[in-house]
Amino acid sequence: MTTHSESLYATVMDDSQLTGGPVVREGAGPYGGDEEIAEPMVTGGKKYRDVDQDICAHTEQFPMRRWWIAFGFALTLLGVLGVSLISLFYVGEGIVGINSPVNWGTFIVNFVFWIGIGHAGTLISAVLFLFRQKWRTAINRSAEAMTLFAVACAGIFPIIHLGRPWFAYWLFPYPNDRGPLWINFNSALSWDIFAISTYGLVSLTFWYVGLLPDLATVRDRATHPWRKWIYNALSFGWTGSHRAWRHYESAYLILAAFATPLVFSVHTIVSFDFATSIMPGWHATIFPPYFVIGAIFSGFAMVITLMVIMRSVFNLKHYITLNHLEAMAKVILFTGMLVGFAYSTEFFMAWYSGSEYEGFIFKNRAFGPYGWSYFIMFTCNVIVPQIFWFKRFRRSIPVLFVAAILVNVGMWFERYVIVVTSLHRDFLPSSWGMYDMTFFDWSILAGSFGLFFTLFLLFVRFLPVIAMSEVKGVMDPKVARSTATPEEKAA
Amino acid sequence: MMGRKAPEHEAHRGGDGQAPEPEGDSGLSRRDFMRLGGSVAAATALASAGCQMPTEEVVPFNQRPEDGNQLGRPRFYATVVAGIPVLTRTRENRPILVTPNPKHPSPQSLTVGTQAALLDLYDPDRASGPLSVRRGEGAVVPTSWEAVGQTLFSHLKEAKGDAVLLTPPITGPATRQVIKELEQVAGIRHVSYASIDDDVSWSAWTTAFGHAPRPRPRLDRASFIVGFGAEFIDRPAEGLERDFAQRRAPDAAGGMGQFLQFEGRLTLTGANADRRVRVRDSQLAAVACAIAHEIVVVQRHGSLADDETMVQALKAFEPAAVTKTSGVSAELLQAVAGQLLAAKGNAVVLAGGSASQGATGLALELATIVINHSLGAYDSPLFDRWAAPAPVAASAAVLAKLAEQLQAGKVSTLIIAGTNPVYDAPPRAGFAAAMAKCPLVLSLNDRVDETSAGADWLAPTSHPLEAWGDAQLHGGMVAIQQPVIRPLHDTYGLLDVLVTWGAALGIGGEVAAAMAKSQTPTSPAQAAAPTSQSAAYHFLRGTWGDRYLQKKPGTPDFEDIWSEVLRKGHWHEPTPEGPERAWSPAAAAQLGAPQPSPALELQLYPHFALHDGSSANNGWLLEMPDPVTRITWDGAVSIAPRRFDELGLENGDLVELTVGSAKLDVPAYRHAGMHHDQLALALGQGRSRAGLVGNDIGVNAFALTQLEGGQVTRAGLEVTLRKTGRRAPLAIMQGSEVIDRDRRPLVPTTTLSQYRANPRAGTEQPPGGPSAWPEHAYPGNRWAMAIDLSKCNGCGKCTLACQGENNIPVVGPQGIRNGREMPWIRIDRYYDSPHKDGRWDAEVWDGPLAVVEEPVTLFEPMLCQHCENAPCETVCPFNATMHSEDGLNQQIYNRCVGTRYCANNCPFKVRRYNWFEYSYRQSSTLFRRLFPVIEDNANRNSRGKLALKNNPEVTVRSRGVMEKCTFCVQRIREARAEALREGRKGSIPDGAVMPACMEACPTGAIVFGDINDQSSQVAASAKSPRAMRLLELTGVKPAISYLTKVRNDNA
Repeated sequence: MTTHSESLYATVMDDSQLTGGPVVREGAGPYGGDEEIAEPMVTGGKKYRDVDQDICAHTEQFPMRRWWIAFGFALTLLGVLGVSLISLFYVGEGIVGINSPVNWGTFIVNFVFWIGIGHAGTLISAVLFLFRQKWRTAINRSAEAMTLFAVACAGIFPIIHLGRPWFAYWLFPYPNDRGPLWINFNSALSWDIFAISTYGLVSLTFWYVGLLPDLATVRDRATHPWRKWIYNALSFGWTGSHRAWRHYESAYLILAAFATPLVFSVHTIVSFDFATSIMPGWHATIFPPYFVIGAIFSGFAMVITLMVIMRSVFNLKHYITLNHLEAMAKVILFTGMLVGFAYSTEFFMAWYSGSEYEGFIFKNRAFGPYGWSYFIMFTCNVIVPQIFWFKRFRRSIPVLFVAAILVNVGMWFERYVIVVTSLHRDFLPSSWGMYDMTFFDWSILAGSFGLFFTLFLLFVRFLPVIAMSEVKGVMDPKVARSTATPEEKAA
Repeated sequence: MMGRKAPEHEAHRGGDGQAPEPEGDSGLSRRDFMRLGGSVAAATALASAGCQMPTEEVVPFNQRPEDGNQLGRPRFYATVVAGIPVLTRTRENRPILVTPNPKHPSPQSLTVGTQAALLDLYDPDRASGPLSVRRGEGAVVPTSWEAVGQTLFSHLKEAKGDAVLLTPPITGPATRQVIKELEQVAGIRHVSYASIDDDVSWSAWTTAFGHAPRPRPRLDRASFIVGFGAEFIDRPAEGLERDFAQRRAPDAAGGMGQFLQFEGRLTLTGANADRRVRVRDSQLAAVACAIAHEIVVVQRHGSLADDETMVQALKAFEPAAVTKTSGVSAELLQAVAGQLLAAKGNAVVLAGGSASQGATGLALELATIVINHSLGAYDSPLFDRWAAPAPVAASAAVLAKLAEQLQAGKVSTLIIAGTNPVYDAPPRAGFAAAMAKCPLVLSLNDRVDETSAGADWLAPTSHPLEAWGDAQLHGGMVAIQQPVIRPLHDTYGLLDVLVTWGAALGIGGEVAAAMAKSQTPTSPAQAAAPTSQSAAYHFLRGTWGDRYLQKKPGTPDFEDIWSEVLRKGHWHEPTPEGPERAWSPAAAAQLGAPQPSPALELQLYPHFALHDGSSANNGWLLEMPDPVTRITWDGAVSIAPRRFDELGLENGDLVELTVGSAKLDVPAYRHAGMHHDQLALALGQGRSRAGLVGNDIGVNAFALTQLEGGQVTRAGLEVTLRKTGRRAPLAIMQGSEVIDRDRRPLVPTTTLSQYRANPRAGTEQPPGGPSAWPEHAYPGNRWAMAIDLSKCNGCGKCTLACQGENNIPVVGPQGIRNGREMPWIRIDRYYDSPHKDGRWDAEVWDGPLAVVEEPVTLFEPMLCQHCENAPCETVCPFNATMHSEDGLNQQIYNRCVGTRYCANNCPFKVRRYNWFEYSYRQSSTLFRRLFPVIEDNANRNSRGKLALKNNPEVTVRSRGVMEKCTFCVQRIREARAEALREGRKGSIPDGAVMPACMEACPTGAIVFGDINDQSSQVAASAKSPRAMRLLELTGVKPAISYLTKVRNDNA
């Protein structure tokens, strides 16, 4: 048995040799039946040593040109965000397209979009960890980083969408000299503050705790004393002792248990911003699960987008294999169908409620002046993922990449549809209106991507993008421990 | 002296108060002190030869007086603005609101223009002093009143030829007297000109009855009204709409009235009709004559039936013939005639709208006179003896004659005061070119407008709120126009100028006496400048003393009566008995015969808010939506929906109109209820030199007015229409045009017969569920409102009053297009749509043809509903909006950080957000250059003295803050403070608190009060079976009840 698996792990050299299913050996089982062996998580016959080298290398050498180009581009977009925000703060929100009746537009659409993106990371690292899904190890680090950066992007929107953002701190309940005046705990927006800040903090802690052993690895490989000192400080003086590992594992497990409910609570509470209102199209009990599923859906799509780029740019194809991508494609397929189910349930509920206003708003969504956005949303979120029924497409990098981007576009439009089409035609026909995005709506959206990519590019530059310690845990020790490289063996 | 009391107690004029003055330590009474102070100041100023000198009449506060004249309390002055009696509310000696005077006996009501006149007072584009304009060169140089006066006097002495004073029609007896003396003594000929005049209906009256006084219809006594293009709600100055509303409620005393309107354009008046028949303007006369034919010739009713010429003239209008040209069925004409006869003694017919300004206008007016005469209406209580003052002939035809004389070089001096003929005269009159030939043109307008730009001098006259004057009112009354504020600029009232110049030109009598009282001229130079407000003041006192009061100024009797006139704002003029009414047989010849109409005709009508465009720099008026089209700012040509769709137009597509040789590119608008073959375009727009706010807004439709045979025509003009392919998006303050009430029962409405069967008809709506919230306790007052939609005519004066009272900014056309409108109370205008089974109604944005061709118009004032379970209150994370224990939904601006969640969650969309900084000009030059919107907003709201308009009781909101209707909480709190002070412990009598909207509503549609007080009017209204609170389904429980709009469908 060991010989088979050993040879398998040692000989699967790249993606083309992976099948996506178990390797079946007829009659090789212990009782004479078939033996099914899981395909390796890491290909290329990597050794533990190789893992350190492959992953830490990016933090140790001068960044490649492609990184600089990407970073320059991201910084430019970040500058666009800065200029847009200065204009916004000086001139007022009149410079974006929001109006009455569409009092919420670009800001809240982007807020919910980014919060949604921020879901997959913690889901992958916490929920999949608790479910012992070992394939998570290749992607959890960067997915979690993506979560943090997405939450950071999301976090600016509730502040910049305020008319007087310099008073945003009034949202926090603390003893104050304004009365004292407490916040209104009835308002879903004040729940948001707690939900998002808790989620952000727990995600950060979880991510950082997971980083500790790897930071120590970087430290150990460091040659420059400053570098050594900095990474030592960042790793909290990690020793790698059994005691440290034992505490680390318990802490990680506990944090995973903490983070898991938050994955569901954040978007549930974000959905309350809409669901607790009385607006037709918002006032729906289906919103919490619908939003959570949508968030996972969009988060996984973003992870795929990022991983496809990262594995090719940093040559991590042996760690983030096609099998990983296929697993994520399956999640996309599943959550995409759930999202589609939610869309149809909304229509059913609108009809079943018997409320004229509800019924109208859904018909208007699909066939009204913003029908095009509903069409984009439905196509991208419900129809596009259906190609993942086919294994061929699940394992095709270009298809995956395009589909993931389409899903992200679709999910952005989902929020657009929810926010804009519900508001633009509500109860009184006299107050119906339209919402046209201005230059600043777009520049702030683009700028938020600038912020996201700036942070992400800094992350890939300075921190190990794959959880080395965890990847090592899913490698076959018999292969990985060997000091000889496959080439040396052959020789 | 607290709250809104009777103006009798509150209206004082400036310094010369009649209350007993407390003796001070100096032993000098306040009155004496002021007199002394005033004359010393005047003498000082004279010595320094200044123009703007302190006067003895208006004295600023130095010390707080001990009588009720306290800072922080509003004071009210009864005065007249543009010939309409008003009550001016002032705070800290600044006028802040122009409201109707509730105790005034004149039937006249405010127009929106009068209300908004307040903003004109503070208009920064007014000239701040005399200017040498140097026409042609475009250079404008400040000068002095002396220079202007001296130039005028020496020119008058030397020049050969006429001197002409061109003014709008002047009604004030004192002003007329001084003008008459100027004509007699100084030889200055007076010419009256108004671009929008009433000449046709007057000439019809005089054609029919000679110079008999023309009585005023009493619509509150009429149970059946037929209008032929009548516009008494569109142009409400005569106050007919107030009377009309009295019979609109289904339980009105004397029964609900019925109103049938024939018209080509859907006017506001027509929108309020029970039944509306589309007839193009040029055919209205024929239709009216056909009805007259039925009454006089067929039914042989009334004295005219024996008048052979009349019978012969009417025979041309047999229904069959009229049907051919007008498309109105003979059955309908006969039925209407039958109905009129059946309602004889209670039926009245009206014309007088824009349609009367067409070629057939005189015939139309005459036909209505024939019908009323035949029905005996003029001898019944349907017309009362209170006559409207006889107007001066003022149509543009007069101007054309003047232009001829100017061209011929017969006029050497032209003084223009308060008119703008270069802008608003028919192009055929050629006034601008003629004016250029005049050696001296002196303009007394208030700014360098189109006409003044072609003058030599501009000597700006004061705003009516700054100057003394007088006016003749309807109903046999005259009134003093008293200043409520010292002139903001170096300007003088027209009367001041006329009296001063008159005295200098050698007029004796009262003029000289007034001048002697107001100053001691020391040199001719000073005589050339108006001295102060006192010239007009003393002149008015002298003239009025002679003419009405029969007392000399200075005697105690005179002073008592004079004070009373100022306090009450009116004086009854003994109505001179006119000649008896006698039908003149020659009138019949004017009726003509039915004529075919042009393929497509155009009506040019006075803009609802801007009227003739003289106040076109007024942001309030520009932003005031037309009540029917809901268009703000730029104008548009109204096209019938079917024609509009056939042409494949969209709202805002530019079309080219051609009338004769004149062409104009105008945005198109799909106007419901238009006659298929008629277009309509509003006058009063397209000013090029109105000011920074009003320049180049819309197009000047006066360019299309025609002048033929001495008659100005603005209706029935033959026109052609061509698509240009360009666009100019409109600023329309309304979402969907149409409401499907079966699905959205948001406007309670029913018909009289349904109402009789079931008084609750029209208020049906889906019920709400149980509430999760605990009920509010309202231990003391609970403020609530009821709006009677049967009385509401959609005029929008509430919107304007609210804008003034609550410091609501003007957002500009782009602001409206972007959905950033700010009104706290708006009028929703819907066309009622029958249920379309099985069809989904998202396409009703512009309205399906079946609905908008023959629209049933509904108006619904929409303001914060002050919900019991207000959805806005629960969602604000900052607690910036909350419920008060007297039932107000309060907005706390200081706490508001601007999440706009409340506005999203408001089912009525009445919350307004400050998208920009409107209240001051932001300082950054960089951003002002990058974002011109900053500059635009500052120009509209805070430039120059504009900020002075703000009501100090109401916070001026900054950017990023939500605002909305407060039920005028400042007035509620003031009344409560007064109740507490007087030991009444919060017991506020019904009617003591009046929000600005209610105060301004001419028809009494809005009722406000304490609903906990069972005897209050609002409690009674809320209990009415007609009452409906909107959106019960959502459980928000509004504090506003809407009473059903009942349409009288009795045949």
